[in-house]
Amino acid sequence: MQAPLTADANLDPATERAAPARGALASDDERRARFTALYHEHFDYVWNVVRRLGVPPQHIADVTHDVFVTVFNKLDEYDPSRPPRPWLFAVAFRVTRNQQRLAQNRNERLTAGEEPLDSIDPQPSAEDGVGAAQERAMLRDALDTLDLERRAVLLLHDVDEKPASEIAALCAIPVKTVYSRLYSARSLLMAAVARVRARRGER
Amino acid sequence: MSAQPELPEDVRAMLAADAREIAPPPGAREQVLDRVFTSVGVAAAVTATAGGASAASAGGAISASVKWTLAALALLTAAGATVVVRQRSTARSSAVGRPLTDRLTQPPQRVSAPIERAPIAVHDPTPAREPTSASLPAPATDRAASIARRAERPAIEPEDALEQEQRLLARGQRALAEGRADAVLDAVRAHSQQFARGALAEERDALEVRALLLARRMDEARAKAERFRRRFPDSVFLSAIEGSLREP
Repeated sequence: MQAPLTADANLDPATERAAPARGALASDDERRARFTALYHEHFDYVWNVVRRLGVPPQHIADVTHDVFVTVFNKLDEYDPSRPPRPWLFAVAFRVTRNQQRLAQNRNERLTAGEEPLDSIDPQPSAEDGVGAAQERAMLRDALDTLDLERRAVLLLHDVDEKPASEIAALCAIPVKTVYSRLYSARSLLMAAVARVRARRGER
Repeated sequence: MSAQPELPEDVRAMLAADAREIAPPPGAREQVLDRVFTSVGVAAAVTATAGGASAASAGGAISASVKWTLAALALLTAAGATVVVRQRSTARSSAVGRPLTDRLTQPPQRVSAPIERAPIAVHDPTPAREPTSASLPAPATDRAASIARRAERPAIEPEDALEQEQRLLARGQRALAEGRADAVLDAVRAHSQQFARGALAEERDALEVRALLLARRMDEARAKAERFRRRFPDSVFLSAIEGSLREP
């Protein structure tokens, strides 16, 4: 099992503007080259992590930017011999959480109900139909009732099939908290799905 | 593996479908990269992006406009103006075009918008205090009350005990899904007897309210919900409970 990921308390990119530390990276060129390679290989992954964590479509680009600014500034801490995605997920999770707290402090409602004109969802294929689109919308409504912490645990465990120990490391929480959040996330999600279906007249 | 309330197959299928990677909008990759390099103060690598030279020059231009934006915001803020940070109209024209630093540097401002629901209270074990006076309780009393509240939840619980709690509540959850209110209440009662102050006491009490609603014991459900709200004012289960109480 990998050693626990670094749980940095301060991942606010607004305060991470200092010149990059010259630790393992020999030069700015090397840092830029390594970052650029990482960026292009995992941009879609990070974008989708931010999306799945419930960031509204009109804010995904901003939060993704914040994530990669943090990645750039923390590049010295990443061990290239290990898979990058767990580290990237941990960064995305913390950045998203920090942004949500900032928004809440400003009494800003980051509602996820409005889609931008150029929606990121692809055009439904011939196999998709109105039903699939409605199901996605219903699931999105139900998932949006979960807070970020529970949503992350649910997605990591039930969809990505990560073990509890790995989820604990990614989210910087004890294993027992993973189980507690998973329990409540499933309960809340099922209740939310039932309510949404009832509103839409499904039974 | 400990027992947990299982998600129905259709919900699992929806989650799996939602997990499919969706391609970002065209141009998003390059635009975000340009903004990242601007933010960290690094010139964009010429060979890393298509049209690298133009990306580098665009990065410089963006940096200048950001600086002017920051200066303007600083002046407005100093003058006491409340600046609306979210720019939906510009965001709609492009998913990636909205300047970011205005949001990051804006000092926290409370927008005095009416809130439809009572805001979720931040859980503070100490009661809200009036302006100090000689007649108020001494701080030691407040601390004792705070300690008593914190004692409701054990700081550490062995994993096997947590597993047992989950198993009991999962039994109740299954019974709830099957519409067997009595079985739910049996599970709740068993959990209360064995884990009165367990780590999942909040989940248990929420389950009990739902069981009472299922059994159409409305007066008891309302009373229990009110006690739940007082005990767990910032519980994530509150909105679901209140919603269930409002349903016919």
